[in-house]
Amino acid sequence: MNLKATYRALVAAVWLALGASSGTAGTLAGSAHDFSTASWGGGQICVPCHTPHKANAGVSAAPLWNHTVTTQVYTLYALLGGKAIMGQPTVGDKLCLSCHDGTVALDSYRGLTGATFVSAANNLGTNLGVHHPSSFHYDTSLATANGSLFDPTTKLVTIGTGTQVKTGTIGAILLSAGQVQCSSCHDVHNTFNATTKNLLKMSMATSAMCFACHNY
Amino acid sequence: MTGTRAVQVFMLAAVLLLVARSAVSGSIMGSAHDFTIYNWSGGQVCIACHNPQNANTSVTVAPQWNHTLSAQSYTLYSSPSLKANIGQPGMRSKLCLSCHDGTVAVDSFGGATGSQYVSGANNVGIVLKDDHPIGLLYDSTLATLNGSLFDPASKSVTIGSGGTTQTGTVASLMLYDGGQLECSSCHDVHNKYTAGTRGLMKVDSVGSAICKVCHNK
Repeated sequence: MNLKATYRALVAAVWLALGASSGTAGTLAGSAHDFSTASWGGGQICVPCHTPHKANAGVSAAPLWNHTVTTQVYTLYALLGGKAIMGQPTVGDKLCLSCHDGTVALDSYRGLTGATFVSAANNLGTNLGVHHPSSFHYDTSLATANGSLFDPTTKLVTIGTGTQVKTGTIGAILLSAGQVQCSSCHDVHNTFNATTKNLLKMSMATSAMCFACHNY
Repeated sequence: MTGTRAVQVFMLAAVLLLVARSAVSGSIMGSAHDFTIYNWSGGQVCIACHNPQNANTSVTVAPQWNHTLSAQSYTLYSSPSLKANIGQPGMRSKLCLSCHDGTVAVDSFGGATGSQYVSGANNVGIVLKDDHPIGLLYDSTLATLNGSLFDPASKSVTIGSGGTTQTGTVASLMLYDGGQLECSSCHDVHNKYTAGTRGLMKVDSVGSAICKVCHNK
Protein backbone atom coordinates (compact mmCIF):
# COMPACT_ATOMS: atom_id res chain seq x y z
CA MET A 1 0.00 0.00 0.00
CA ASN A 2 1.50 3.36 -0.98
CA LEU A 3 1.39 6.44 1.20
CA LYS A 4 -1.62 7.92 -0.58
CA ALA A 5 -3.62 4.71 -0.20
CA THR A 6 -2.66 4.51 3.48
CA TYR A 7 -3.81 8.11 3.98
CA ARG A 8 -7.12 7.37 2.22
CA ALA A 9 -7.66 4.28 4.37
CA LEU A 10 -6.94 6.34 7.50
CA VAL A 11 -9.39 9.06 6.46
CA ALA A 12 -12.01 6.42 5.72
CA ALA A 13 -11.42 4.78 9.13
CA VAL A 14 -11.79 8.12 10.95
CA TRP A 15 -14.91 8.92 8.95
CA LEU A 16 -16.42 5.54 9.79
CA ALA A 17 -15.54 5.95 13.46
CA LEU A 18 -17.19 9.37 13.56
CA GLY A 19 -20.22 7.98 11.73
CA ALA A 20 -20.47 5.15 14.23
CA SER A 21 -20.25 7.49 17.20
CA SER A 22 -22.96 9.79 15.84
CA GLY A 23 -25.12 6.67 15.46
CA THR A 24 -24.90 6.02 19.17
CA ALA A 25 -25.50 9.66 20.14
CA GLY A 26 -28.74 10.21 21.95
CA THR A 27 -28.43 7.26 24.27
CA LEU A 28 -29.01 7.00 27.97
CA ALA A 29 -25.57 5.45 28.52
CA GLY A 30 -23.12 8.13 29.57
CA SER A 31 -25.88 10.69 30.22
CA ALA A 32 -26.72 12.23 33.60
CA HIS A 33 -29.36 9.50 33.98
CA ASP A 34 -26.92 6.65 33.47
CA PHE A 35 -26.81 5.25 37.01
CA SER A 36 -24.56 2.31 36.21
CA THR A 37 -21.50 4.06 37.64
CA ALA A 38 -23.21 5.29 40.84
CA SER A 39 -22.21 3.38 43.95
CA TRP A 40 -25.87 2.58 44.63
CA GLY A 41 -26.83 1.70 41.03
CA GLY A 42 -25.76 -1.94 41.13
CA GLY A 43 -24.08 -1.41 37.75
CA GLN A 44 -27.43 -1.05 35.99
CA ILE A 45 -28.89 1.87 34.09
CA CYS A 46 -32.64 1.29 33.96
CA VAL A 47 -33.47 -0.31 37.28
CA PRO A 48 -33.72 2.76 39.58
CA CYS A 49 -36.78 3.77 37.52
CA HIS A 50 -37.98 0.62 35.74
CA THR A 51 -38.06 -3.08 36.53
CA PRO A 52 -39.08 -6.07 34.42
CA HIS A 53 -40.89 -7.71 37.35
CA LYS A 54 -42.91 -6.62 40.40
CA ALA A 55 -43.31 -3.06 39.17
CA ASN A 56 -45.66 -0.46 40.68
CA ALA A 57 -48.73 -1.13 38.53
CA GLY A 58 -50.42 1.95 40.01
CA VAL A 59 -48.18 4.23 37.94
CA SER A 60 -49.58 4.65 34.45
CA ALA A 61 -47.51 7.64 33.32
CA ALA A 62 -44.42 5.47 32.77
CA PRO A 63 -44.05 1.75 32.17
CA LEU A 64 -42.96 -0.76 34.81
CA TRP A 65 -42.22 1.80 37.51
CA ASN A 66 -39.74 0.78 40.18
CA HIS A 67 -38.88 3.91 42.21
CA THR A 68 -40.63 4.97 45.41
CA VAL A 69 -43.05 7.76 44.50
CA THR A 70 -42.92 11.00 46.48
CA THR A 71 -45.93 11.85 48.66
CA GLN A 72 -44.94 15.50 49.02
CA VAL A 73 -47.50 18.34 48.81
CA TYR A 74 -45.80 21.26 47.06
CA THR A 75 -45.94 25.03 47.28
CA LEU A 76 -47.15 25.93 43.80
CA TYR A 77 -46.07 28.51 41.28
CA ALA A 78 -48.26 31.60 41.71
CA LEU A 79 -46.94 34.58 39.78
CA LEU A 80 -49.40 37.45 39.93
CA GLY A 81 -51.12 37.73 36.56
CA GLY A 82 -50.52 34.11 35.68
CA LYS A 83 -53.28 32.91 33.36
CA ALA A 84 -52.75 29.17 33.71
CA ILE A 85 -54.60 27.15 36.30
CA MET A 86 -52.06 25.51 38.57
CA GLY A 87 -52.52 22.34 40.57
CA GLN A 88 -50.36 19.85 42.42
CA PRO A 89 -47.94 18.05 40.07
CA THR A 90 -49.62 15.35 38.02
CA VAL A 91 -48.20 11.88 38.02
CA GLY A 92 -45.67 12.31 35.18
CA ASP A 93 -44.06 15.17 37.10
CA LYS A 94 -44.25 13.27 40.36
CA LEU A 95 -42.05 10.56 38.88
CA CYS A 96 -39.31 13.15 38.25
CA LEU A 97 -39.87 14.76 41.64
CA SER A 98 -39.51 11.34 43.27
CA CYS A 99 -35.78 11.99 43.05
CA HIS A 100 -35.64 15.71 42.29
CA ASP A 101 -37.67 17.11 45.21
CA GLY A 102 -35.04 15.80 47.60
CA THR A 103 -37.53 13.98 49.85
CA VAL A 104 -36.99 10.46 48.46
CA ALA A 105 -33.54 8.91 48.14
CA LEU A 106 -32.19 8.05 44.68
CA ASP A 107 -31.69 4.49 45.84
CA SER A 108 -35.24 4.07 47.16
CA TYR A 109 -36.45 1.52 44.68
CA ARG A 110 -37.48 -2.11 44.51
CA GLY A 111 -39.21 -1.56 47.84
CA LEU A 112 -36.00 -0.54 49.61
CA THR A 113 -35.43 2.74 51.40
CA GLY A 114 -32.21 4.35 50.26
CA ALA A 115 -29.90 6.90 51.79
CA THR A 116 -28.31 8.75 48.85
CA PHE A 117 -30.13 11.91 47.83
CA VAL A 118 -29.97 13.99 44.66
CA SER A 119 -27.19 16.60 44.62
CA ALA A 120 -28.01 20.15 45.68
CA ALA A 121 -27.72 21.40 42.10
CA ASN A 122 -30.32 18.87 40.95
CA ASN A 123 -32.63 19.26 43.94
CA LEU A 124 -35.66 21.39 43.06
CA GLY A 125 -36.97 21.19 46.62
CA THR A 126 -40.61 21.29 47.63
CA ASN A 127 -41.26 24.97 46.87
CA LEU A 128 -42.16 24.90 43.19
CA GLY A 129 -42.96 28.61 43.31
CA VAL A 130 -39.39 29.34 42.29
CA HIS A 131 -39.44 27.15 39.17
CA HIS A 132 -41.10 27.44 35.78
CA PRO A 133 -44.69 26.24 36.25
CA SER A 134 -45.46 22.64 35.36
CA SER A 135 -48.52 20.36 35.41
CA PHE A 136 -50.93 22.81 33.77
CA HIS A 137 -52.93 22.78 30.54
CA TYR A 138 -51.40 24.75 27.70
CA ASP A 139 -53.97 25.18 24.97
CA THR A 140 -55.10 27.76 22.42
CA SER A 141 -57.23 29.61 25.03
CA LEU A 142 -54.24 29.97 27.34
CA ALA A 143 -52.09 31.22 24.46
CA THR A 144 -54.76 33.82 23.66
CA ALA A 145 -55.27 34.82 27.30
CA ASN A 146 -51.53 35.16 27.85
CA GLY A 147 -50.87 37.07 24.67
CA SER A 148 -47.22 36.12 24.29
CA LEU A 149 -47.41 32.35 23.99
CA PHE A 150 -47.57 30.54 20.67
CA ASP A 151 -50.66 28.47 19.90
CA PRO A 152 -49.51 24.92 20.79
CA THR A 153 -51.81 23.40 18.15
CA THR A 154 -50.13 25.21 15.26
CA LYS A 155 -46.62 26.29 16.32
CA LEU A 156 -44.03 23.88 14.94
CA VAL A 157 -40.90 22.93 16.87
CA THR A 158 -37.91 20.78 15.99
CA ILE A 159 -36.25 18.96 18.85
CA GLY A 160 -32.99 17.01 19.00
CA THR A 161 -29.74 16.90 17.07
CA GLY A 162 -27.92 14.71 14.57
CA THR A 163 -29.82 11.57 13.69
CA GLN A 164 -32.36 12.09 16.47
CA VAL A 165 -34.58 14.90 15.22
CA LYS A 166 -38.33 15.25 15.45
CA THR A 167 -40.57 18.01 14.15
CA GLY A 168 -44.19 18.64 15.04
CA THR A 169 -46.50 20.98 16.90
CA ILE A 170 -45.81 21.96 20.50
CA GLY A 171 -48.87 19.90 21.41
CA ALA A 172 -47.48 16.79 19.73
CA ILE A 173 -43.80 17.09 20.62
CA LEU A 174 -43.60 18.90 23.96
CA LEU A 175 -46.89 18.49 25.80
CA SER A 176 -48.10 15.43 27.64
CA ALA A 177 -51.89 14.99 27.42
CA GLY A 178 -52.11 18.73 26.75
CA GLN A 179 -50.08 19.62 29.82
CA VAL A 180 -46.73 21.26 30.30
CA GLN A 181 -44.75 18.80 32.37
CA CYS A 182 -41.08 18.43 33.34
CA SER A 183 -40.78 16.26 30.22
CA SER A 184 -41.95 19.15 28.01
CA CYS A 185 -38.45 20.61 28.19
CA HIS A 186 -36.49 17.72 29.64
CA ASP A 187 -35.50 14.59 27.77
CA VAL A 188 -35.30 12.01 30.55
CA HIS A 189 -33.74 9.28 28.38
CA ASN A 190 -31.41 11.63 26.48
CA THR A 191 -33.09 10.42 23.30
CA PHE A 192 -32.53 13.70 21.51
CA ASN A 193 -29.08 14.56 22.81
CA ALA A 194 -29.68 18.27 22.27
CA THR A 195 -27.57 19.53 25.19
CA THR A 196 -24.53 18.43 27.12
CA LYS A 197 -26.23 19.13 30.45
CA ASN A 198 -29.71 19.21 31.94
CA LEU A 199 -31.07 16.71 29.38
CA LEU A 200 -33.02 19.24 27.33
CA LYS A 201 -35.04 18.63 24.18
CA MET A 202 -33.69 21.83 22.59
CA SER A 203 -30.54 23.86 22.97
CA MET A 204 -30.32 26.79 25.38
CA ALA A 205 -28.16 28.67 22.86
CA THR A 206 -30.05 31.89 22.07
CA SER A 207 -32.64 30.53 24.52
CA ALA A 208 -34.16 28.37 21.78
CA MET A 209 -35.85 26.12 24.34
CA CYS A 210 -37.74 29.09 25.85
CA PHE A 211 -38.73 30.50 22.47
CA ALA A 212 -40.35 27.21 21.50
CA CYS A 213 -43.41 28.45 23.44
CA HIS A 214 -42.73 32.06 24.40
CA ASN A 215 -43.29 34.53 21.57
CA TYR A 216 -40.90 37.37 22.36
CA MET B 1 10.80 -35.68 40.10
CA THR B 2 13.02 -32.63 39.93
CA GLY B 3 11.87 -29.25 41.18
CA THR B 4 11.43 -27.96 37.61
CA ARG B 5 9.52 -31.05 36.59
CA ALA B 6 7.20 -30.67 39.61
CA VAL B 7 6.48 -27.08 38.61
CA GLN B 8 5.70 -28.22 35.04
CA VAL B 9 3.29 -30.88 36.29
CA PHE B 10 1.66 -28.36 38.62
CA MET B 11 1.22 -25.86 35.77
CA LEU B 12 -0.30 -28.53 33.54
CA ALA B 13 -2.69 -29.55 36.30
CA ALA B 14 -3.65 -25.90 36.86
CA VAL B 15 -4.33 -25.38 33.15
CA LEU B 16 -6.41 -28.56 32.96
CA LEU B 17 -8.37 -27.49 36.02
CA LEU B 18 -9.13 -24.09 34.47
CA VAL B 19 -10.24 -25.73 31.21
CA ALA B 20 -12.42 -28.18 33.13
CA ARG B 21 -14.00 -25.33 35.10
CA SER B 22 -14.85 -23.30 32.02
CA ALA B 23 -16.29 -26.42 30.41
CA VAL B 24 -18.86 -26.80 33.22
CA SER B 25 -19.79 -23.12 33.28
CA GLY B 26 -22.94 -22.66 31.27
CA SER B 27 -24.43 -25.76 32.78
CA ILE B 28 -27.71 -26.30 34.59
CA MET B 29 -25.68 -27.99 37.34
CA GLY B 30 -25.30 -25.57 40.22
CA SER B 31 -27.71 -23.05 38.65
CA ALA B 32 -30.99 -21.86 40.17
CA HIS B 33 -32.71 -24.60 38.16
CA ASP B 34 -30.57 -27.39 39.57
CA PHE B 35 -33.14 -28.96 41.90
CA THR B 36 -30.92 -31.72 43.26
CA ILE B 37 -30.46 -29.86 46.55
CA TYR B 38 -34.19 -30.10 47.36
CA ASN B 39 -35.67 -33.16 49.01
CA TRP B 40 -38.64 -33.18 46.63
CA SER B 41 -36.41 -33.65 43.58
CA GLY B 42 -35.27 -37.10 44.63
CA GLY B 43 -31.79 -35.86 43.81
CA GLN B 44 -32.60 -35.35 40.15
CA VAL B 45 -32.04 -32.28 37.98
CA CYS B 46 -34.38 -32.76 35.00
CA ILE B 47 -37.36 -34.64 36.39
CA ALA B 48 -39.32 -31.64 37.67
CA CYS B 49 -39.81 -30.52 34.07
CA HIS B 50 -39.02 -33.50 31.84
CA ASN B 51 -39.66 -37.21 32.05
CA PRO B 52 -38.32 -39.87 29.69
CA GLN B 53 -41.55 -41.84 30.08
CA ASN B 54 -45.24 -40.94 30.31
CA ALA B 55 -44.69 -37.32 29.35
CA ASN B 56 -47.51 -34.87 28.61
CA THR B 57 -47.61 -35.10 24.81
CA SER B 58 -50.04 -32.18 24.55
CA VAL B 59 -47.05 -29.92 25.27
CA THR B 60 -45.22 -29.45 21.99
CA VAL B 61 -42.98 -26.45 22.75
CA ALA B 62 -40.77 -28.43 25.14
CA PRO B 63 -39.91 -32.11 24.98
CA GLN B 64 -41.17 -34.81 27.34
CA TRP B 65 -43.06 -32.42 29.61
CA ASN B 66 -43.59 -33.67 33.15
CA HIS B 67 -44.78 -30.75 35.33
CA THR B 68 -48.41 -29.99 36.09
CA LEU B 69 -49.51 -27.04 33.95
CA SER B 70 -50.97 -23.90 35.44
CA ALA B 71 -54.62 -23.39 34.48
CA GLN B 72 -54.50 -19.75 35.50
CA SER B 73 -55.94 -16.91 33.43
CA TYR B 74 -53.73 -13.87 33.98
CA THR B 75 -54.32 -10.16 34.38
CA LEU B 76 -52.32 -8.85 31.44
CA TYR B 77 -49.86 -6.00 31.11
CA SER B 78 -51.27 -2.70 29.92
CA SER B 79 -49.95 0.83 29.60
CA PRO B 80 -51.16 3.98 27.83
CA SER B 81 -48.06 4.02 25.62
CA LEU B 82 -48.18 0.32 24.75
CA LYS B 83 -48.34 -0.38 21.01
CA ALA B 84 -48.18 -4.18 21.10
CA ASN B 85 -51.20 -6.46 21.35
CA ILE B 86 -50.89 -8.49 24.51
CA GLY B 87 -52.60 -11.83 24.81
CA GLN B 88 -52.55 -14.56 27.42
CA PRO B 89 -49.00 -15.94 27.75
CA GLY B 90 -48.00 -18.38 25.04
CA MET B 91 -47.50 -22.04 25.96
CA ARG B 92 -43.75 -21.49 26.15
CA SER B 93 -44.29 -18.97 28.98
CA LYS B 94 -47.03 -21.05 30.59
CA LEU B 95 -44.45 -23.75 31.20
CA CYS B 96 -42.43 -21.23 33.23
CA LEU B 97 -45.53 -19.90 34.96
CA SER B 98 -46.44 -23.44 35.98
CA CYS B 99 -43.98 -22.89 38.82
CA HIS B 100 -43.49 -19.12 38.78
CA ASP B 101 -47.11 -17.95 39.07
CA GLY B 102 -47.26 -19.53 42.51
CA THR B 103 -50.48 -21.49 41.82
CA VAL B 104 -48.87 -24.87 41.14
CA ALA B 105 -46.38 -26.43 43.56
CA VAL B 106 -42.82 -26.84 42.36
CA ASP B 107 -43.08 -30.55 43.21
CA SER B 108 -46.30 -31.09 41.25
CA PHE B 109 -44.91 -33.36 38.59
CA GLY B 110 -45.17 -36.94 37.41
CA GLY B 111 -48.87 -36.87 38.27
CA ALA B 112 -48.23 -35.98 41.95
CA THR B 113 -49.65 -32.89 43.62
CA GLY B 114 -46.88 -31.20 45.53
CA SER B 115 -46.77 -28.80 48.43
CA GLN B 116 -43.59 -26.77 47.90
CA TYR B 117 -44.12 -23.41 46.24
CA VAL B 118 -41.70 -21.06 44.54
CA SER B 119 -40.16 -18.44 46.88
CA GLY B 120 -41.58 -14.93 47.13
CA ALA B 121 -38.80 -13.36 45.08
CA ASN B 122 -39.31 -15.87 42.27
CA ASN B 123 -43.11 -15.76 42.37
CA VAL B 124 -44.31 -13.58 39.50
CA GLY B 125 -47.91 -14.02 40.64
CA ILE B 126 -51.06 -14.07 38.52
CA VAL B 127 -51.19 -10.32 37.91
CA LEU B 128 -48.78 -9.82 35.02
CA LYS B 129 -49.58 -6.10 34.85
CA ASP B 130 -46.51 -5.36 36.97
CA ASP B 131 -44.20 -7.46 34.80
CA HIS B 132 -42.60 -6.78 31.44
CA PRO B 133 -45.14 -7.79 28.79
CA ILE B 134 -44.90 -11.26 27.26
CA GLY B 135 -47.14 -13.07 24.82
CA LEU B 136 -46.73 -10.38 22.20
CA LEU B 137 -45.61 -10.22 18.59
CA TYR B 138 -42.40 -8.18 18.31
CA ASP B 139 -41.81 -7.48 14.65
CA SER B 140 -40.54 -4.66 12.44
CA THR B 141 -44.00 -3.05 12.43
CA LEU B 142 -44.08 -2.87 16.23
CA ALA B 143 -40.54 -1.42 16.26
CA THR B 144 -41.63 1.35 13.88
CA LEU B 145 -44.85 2.06 15.80
CA ASN B 146 -43.04 2.23 19.13
CA GLY B 147 -40.22 4.41 17.83
CA SER B 148 -37.63 3.40 20.39
CA LEU B 149 -37.37 -0.32 19.78
CA PHE B 150 -34.78 -1.86 17.48
CA ASP B 151 -35.98 -3.81 14.46
CA PRO B 152 -35.74 -7.45 15.64
CA ALA B 153 -35.19 -8.63 12.07
CA SER B 154 -31.93 -6.71 11.73
CA LYS B 155 -30.67 -5.90 15.25
CA SER B 156 -27.74 -8.14 16.12
CA VAL B 157 -27.30 -9.55 19.61
CA THR B 158 -24.71 -11.75 21.28
CA ILE B 159 -26.09 -13.91 24.03
CA GLY B 160 -24.05 -15.70 26.66
CA SER B 161 -20.56 -15.20 27.96
CA GLY B 162 -17.20 -16.94 28.00
CA GLY B 163 -17.09 -20.05 25.88
CA THR B 164 -20.84 -20.25 25.31
CA THR B 165 -21.94 -17.39 23.11
CA GLN B 166 -24.16 -17.10 20.11
CA THR B 167 -24.62 -14.16 17.78
CA GLY B 168 -27.58 -13.51 15.56
CA THR B 169 -30.60 -11.24 15.16
CA VAL B 170 -32.98 -10.56 18.04
CA ALA B 171 -35.63 -12.42 16.04
CA SER B 172 -33.50 -15.54 15.64
CA LEU B 173 -32.09 -15.75 19.18
CA MET B 174 -34.78 -14.23 21.39
CA LEU B 175 -38.17 -14.58 19.72
CA TYR B 176 -40.21 -17.71 19.25
CA ASP B 177 -43.08 -19.14 17.23
CA GLY B 178 -42.85 -16.50 14.51
CA GLY B 179 -41.73 -13.48 16.51
CA GLN B 180 -43.40 -13.91 19.90
CA LEU B 181 -41.73 -12.44 22.98
CA GLU B 182 -41.95 -14.86 25.89
CA CYS B 183 -40.15 -15.44 29.21
CA SER B 184 -37.38 -17.27 27.38
CA SER B 185 -36.64 -14.20 25.27
CA CYS B 186 -34.62 -12.85 28.22
CA HIS B 187 -34.30 -15.88 30.46
CA ASP B 188 -32.04 -18.84 29.87
CA VAL B 189 -33.94 -21.66 31.56
CA HIS B 190 -31.12 -24.22 31.34
CA ASN B 191 -28.34 -21.73 32.17
CA LYS B 192 -26.73 -22.59 28.87
CA TYR B 193 -25.25 -19.16 28.38
CA THR B 194 -24.31 -18.08 31.93
CA ALA B 195 -24.62 -14.34 31.45
CA GLY B 196 -24.37 -12.67 34.84
CA THR B 197 -24.79 -14.26 38.22
CA ARG B 198 -28.54 -14.29 38.82
CA GLY B 199 -31.88 -14.43 37.07
CA LEU B 200 -30.67 -16.92 34.45
CA MET B 201 -30.26 -14.23 31.83
CA LYS B 202 -29.26 -14.60 28.18
CA VAL B 203 -27.50 -11.23 28.34
CA ASP B 204 -26.05 -9.76 31.53
CA SER B 205 -27.99 -7.02 33.30
CA VAL B 206 -24.77 -5.08 33.93
CA GLY B 207 -25.24 -1.69 32.30
CA SER B 208 -28.85 -2.84 31.69
CA ALA B 209 -27.46 -4.60 28.61
CA ILE B 210 -30.38 -7.04 28.51
CA CYS B 211 -32.86 -4.13 28.30
CA LYS B 212 -30.88 -2.33 25.62
CA VAL B 213 -30.86 -5.38 23.34
CA CYS B 214 -34.35 -4.32 22.25
CA HIS B 215 -34.87 -0.85 23.74
CA ASN B 216 -33.06 1.84 21.80
CA LYS B 217 -32.45 4.23 24.68
